[in-house]
Amino acid sequence: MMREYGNPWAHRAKWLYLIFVVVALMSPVLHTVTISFNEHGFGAADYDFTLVYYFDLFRNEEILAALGWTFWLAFVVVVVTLPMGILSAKFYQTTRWKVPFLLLMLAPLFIPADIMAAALLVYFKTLSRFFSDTFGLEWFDLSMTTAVIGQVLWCLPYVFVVVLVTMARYHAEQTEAARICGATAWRAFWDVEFPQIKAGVFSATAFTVILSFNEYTRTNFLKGGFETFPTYIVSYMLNTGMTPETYAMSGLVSMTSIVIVGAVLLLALRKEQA
Amino acid sequence: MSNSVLAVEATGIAKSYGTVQALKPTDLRIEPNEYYVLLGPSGGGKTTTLRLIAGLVRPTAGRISIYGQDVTELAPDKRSTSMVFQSYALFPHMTVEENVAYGLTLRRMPRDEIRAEVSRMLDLVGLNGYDNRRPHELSGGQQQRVQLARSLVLHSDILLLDEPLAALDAKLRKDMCLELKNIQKTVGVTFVHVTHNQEEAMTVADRIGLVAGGELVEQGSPEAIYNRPEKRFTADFIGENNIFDGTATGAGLDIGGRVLGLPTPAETGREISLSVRSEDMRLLDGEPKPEGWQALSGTLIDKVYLGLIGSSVVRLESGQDITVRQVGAMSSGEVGASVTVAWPTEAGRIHLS
Repeated sequence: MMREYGNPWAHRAKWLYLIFVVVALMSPVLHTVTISFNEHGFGAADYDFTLVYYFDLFRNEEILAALGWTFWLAFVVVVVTLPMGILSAKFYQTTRWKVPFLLLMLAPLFIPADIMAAALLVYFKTLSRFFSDTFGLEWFDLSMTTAVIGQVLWCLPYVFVVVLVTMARYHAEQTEAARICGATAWRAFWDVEFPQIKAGVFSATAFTVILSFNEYTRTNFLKGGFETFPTYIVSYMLNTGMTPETYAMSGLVSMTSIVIVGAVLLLALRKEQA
Repeated sequence: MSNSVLAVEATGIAKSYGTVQALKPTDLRIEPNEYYVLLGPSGGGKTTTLRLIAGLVRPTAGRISIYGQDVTELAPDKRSTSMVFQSYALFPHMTVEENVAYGLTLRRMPRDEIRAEVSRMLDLVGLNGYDNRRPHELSGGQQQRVQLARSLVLHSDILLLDEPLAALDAKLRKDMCLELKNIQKTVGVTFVHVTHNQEEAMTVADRIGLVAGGELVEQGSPEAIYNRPEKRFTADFIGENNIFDGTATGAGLDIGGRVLGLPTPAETGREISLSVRSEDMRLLDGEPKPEGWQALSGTLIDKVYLGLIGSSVVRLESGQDITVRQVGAMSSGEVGASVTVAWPTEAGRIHLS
């Protein structure tokens, strides 16, 4: 390792900088979380630890319903996006048109959320009118379906890239070897390739859950007949302003994300050491 | 299986990728229990040929039969072939035992039968007791043995080997060659082996097919292909031959001013080549040319001592470089000295194409 001859202070300075960046990024979140545990709320001189605002959250049926919808939406989005992402990554490996395909796959990342959401809204309105006038169907009325489509568009590029990175380390000879041993294409994928890209699929799942869980703009435009946790928080804040409950809600969202990311990192680390 | 049926019979098989012809229409006939080697330079089409037999690529023309059954339309898992790859082909998340057992597991063979069969195969390839290792814990040679066991355990009609020893060092490759040959004799299965290494091919093969430029150039036993090459390309690729191109004058070959004696007469006016093995040539140290020999003079430009042989390079007056190899001896001449190279006329071989 080159580091053995490097200046030890340069190395320490890098660590210090890293820690500073993390603290700077996280401190607003931590600040909010601290307030959420204070019985006296924001700006109070005293600090008395309490969980009462969190208990209040779980007694509020609107919030519970929003949480339920949020998790259900995240689940459906994962179920739809993962196979699509894996298939796209497989396709990318075999296609001759790599650059155009990549641009196409990543395009949703470069369209601003509100533009994309508004465009989808208008599009679904038109589709919805067409389907109800022509077939009497309500397929594209604002609903879970439209929200799922909006979120899938948002999550797919991430799943695609994460899966592609793990797939790149896989040696295709193994699929050929499996086929020659008598495996069908599907068995070869399931027995040989999938176990080796599992880590990527797992990260992609966690990524999708977090993206879906925290998504506001698209969901707010495209949902129909329900609130998710982020849309509920925003409309609550707009109506009531910041209350101790809002802090608790923010705390809940942040902690859920941190727990998921932490779990993924821990698992990845344990796999690295194994 | 009756001897009249061929293990592999390919008729007019060809493979193109767009405008690139990886393999021109080729006929290939491999006998049962034969150790057949496809030898040739990289990019010559030998691996394509092997992958066509395996079903990993689909021919753009032609038919392939294995023991009389037309397999042209069959996917690799539906063919009675198994294959050893150059590297990276073991399943890294499985143990040695699971790797070897994989094909049998797919066949839903009872567990204890699988175990018995796997341990028999690991014995055969000399990996007894390695059952629970992971591929990354094995050396390159051991990994190739596991691949071999994984292929043999299927008892396929044809075992295909794609550069199986290319990633191994020279000493190990030599040992593995002999072992492959022995295993093939023991199990009595048709082996088709692809390599670019001539020594490897000569060691294992019953018959060598020389593949280059997308064509099967020539085939024959190692001895025949080395001593009696028919094509100029073969003489150039196999062994270390000196080749003279020129026009036949009946009993001689006109190489531009000089006429060399031919071992047998050739049709006058025809463009032909004459090849002479470097070990059949000698440097004459001042002594006169023996009766029935051909001689050319030139300048000694290089001398290499390789232990068993000494190799000298002589630049002829025409500018052509000639290699002379002598067992256990070095030419006494100094680099830069004028020398004469000579060879018995009957050591020459005529190539019409």
